[in-house]
Amino acid sequence: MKKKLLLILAIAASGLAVKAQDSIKVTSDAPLVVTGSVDAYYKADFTGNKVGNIPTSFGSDQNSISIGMIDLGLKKKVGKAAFAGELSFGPRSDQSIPTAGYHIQNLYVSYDLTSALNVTGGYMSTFIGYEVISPTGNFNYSTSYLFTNGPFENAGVKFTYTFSDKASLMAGIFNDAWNVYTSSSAVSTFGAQLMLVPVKNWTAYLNLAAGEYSGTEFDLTTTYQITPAFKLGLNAADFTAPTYKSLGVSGGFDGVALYPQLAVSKDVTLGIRGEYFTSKTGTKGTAETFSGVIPGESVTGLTFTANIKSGPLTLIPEIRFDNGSKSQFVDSNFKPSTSAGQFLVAAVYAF
Amino acid sequence: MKRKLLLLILCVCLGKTAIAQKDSLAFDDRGKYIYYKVVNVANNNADALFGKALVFFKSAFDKNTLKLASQDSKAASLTGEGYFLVSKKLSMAKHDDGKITCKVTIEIKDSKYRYWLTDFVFTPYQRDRYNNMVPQLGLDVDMEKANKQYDKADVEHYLDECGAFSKRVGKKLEQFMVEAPKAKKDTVAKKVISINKW
Repeated sequence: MKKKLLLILAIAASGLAVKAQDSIKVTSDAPLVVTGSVDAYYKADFTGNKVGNIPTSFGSDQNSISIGMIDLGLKKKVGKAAFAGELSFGPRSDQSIPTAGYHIQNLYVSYDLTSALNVTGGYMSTFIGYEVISPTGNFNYSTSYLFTNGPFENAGVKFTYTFSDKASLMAGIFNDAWNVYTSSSAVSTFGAQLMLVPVKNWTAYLNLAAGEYSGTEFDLTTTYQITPAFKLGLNAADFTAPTYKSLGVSGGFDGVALYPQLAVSKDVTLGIRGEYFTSKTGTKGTAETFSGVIPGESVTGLTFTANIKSGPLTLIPEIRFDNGSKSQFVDSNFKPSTSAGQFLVAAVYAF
Repeated sequence: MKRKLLLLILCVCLGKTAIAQKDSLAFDDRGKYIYYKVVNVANNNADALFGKALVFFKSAFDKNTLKLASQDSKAASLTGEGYFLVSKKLSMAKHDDGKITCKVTIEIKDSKYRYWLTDFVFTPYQRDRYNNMVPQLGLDVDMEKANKQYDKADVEHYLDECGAFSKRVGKKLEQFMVEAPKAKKDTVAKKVISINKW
């Protein structure tokens, strides 16, 4: 028994000593990186109806405690070569990829051709826009009209040249269709992104995705951490829908969203999302309707959100009011209404 | 007897933990964490030691871990910037949760030198849309103030990492300062075996 205890003593002592020496990473080749999240929410529309009124992406259930998704990501880099794979399951995943049974959010390989030039190919989160699919990447739990109607994912090959830590340029060629794993007919969407750091802690991304099949979107996404407590984000976009030869349909949308956020304590940050979104009338035939906003009309959304953190868990209470220029919502009697409101509270655990 | 041995195990474990956290870092006169050491090296003049210190900055670690920022041969001093990645202690998954940068200074005289690591600054990381862990701009915090921003257990763990990094850099420096500059690998003669005679 004494021998066993002495053995335990020796193992405990040596184990601690080894841990202290080996815990520092001094090379760029990190081990297999594992990330992920799970999220769940409760949402109530102010009409009291079971039917959802605000049609932006995700969190679509009313008067229900519902799940978002489980997200699991792996990443590894050895030398100049890296891969990333990200799987997701759940309603939020299903709504983000419009093909039943698809569960991949990111699957790409990349290679550093030089210290400044990288090539990446596969299926990737889009480079367009401020908000993302993963709830850990957004401050608000509900999403904007700009996010809902822009691309979520793009499959393709892109080259990124880093001029300095203040400027880089990406250019690539992507599948004609957004959000799906295979092209509709061709690899024909051109994508580009210019990243600039005008001043310290301010990053700006000028984005373009242009293709005959999916249309053309110009996008500005910028974030400025003005003080350690105050951050200001901005997203503005212009989208011109494709002109289908057979239908003669065109149109698109314009929009701008502002994201001021203030950390009021170590664990609590308050934020507002103010968005104006308008649907273009189009030049040929009947233009598309985007998230219930008919051509020529607009909607204004105001979302008040808090992020309350406890370690890896974030509690997100949120109140949202949307107001349309025309009746695009319904009231409690299901009669047309220009306004809608909702409350939700979400829990997001990131690991 | 069993109780005594168990008590001993407990003491050793607690002692090790305490040592890991507190033995290597002190506070300097500015109130900053510092790892400081004076080393005597007999029969080495300042010029020779300066040359060795220069070799240390250029070849001891990769440029991401330690790089030379400035050198002053007249004052016999060199400064560099150190960098390492850290993960949260209680994180379920393995990924980088931040980076810590620090300043490394070496000052040299005949037959002795001193070095110190200080100005430890933590930058938190966040996951981006491509599943990369990337720095959160504008949220750098000095390690002395990190307790106000982050959980105590995480901060203690990051300080352990600062101490371990400092020890590792110091140990490597001390090796370089006593050894003659190493010959480059490509000058090592190849071992050739002739199979014509046997």
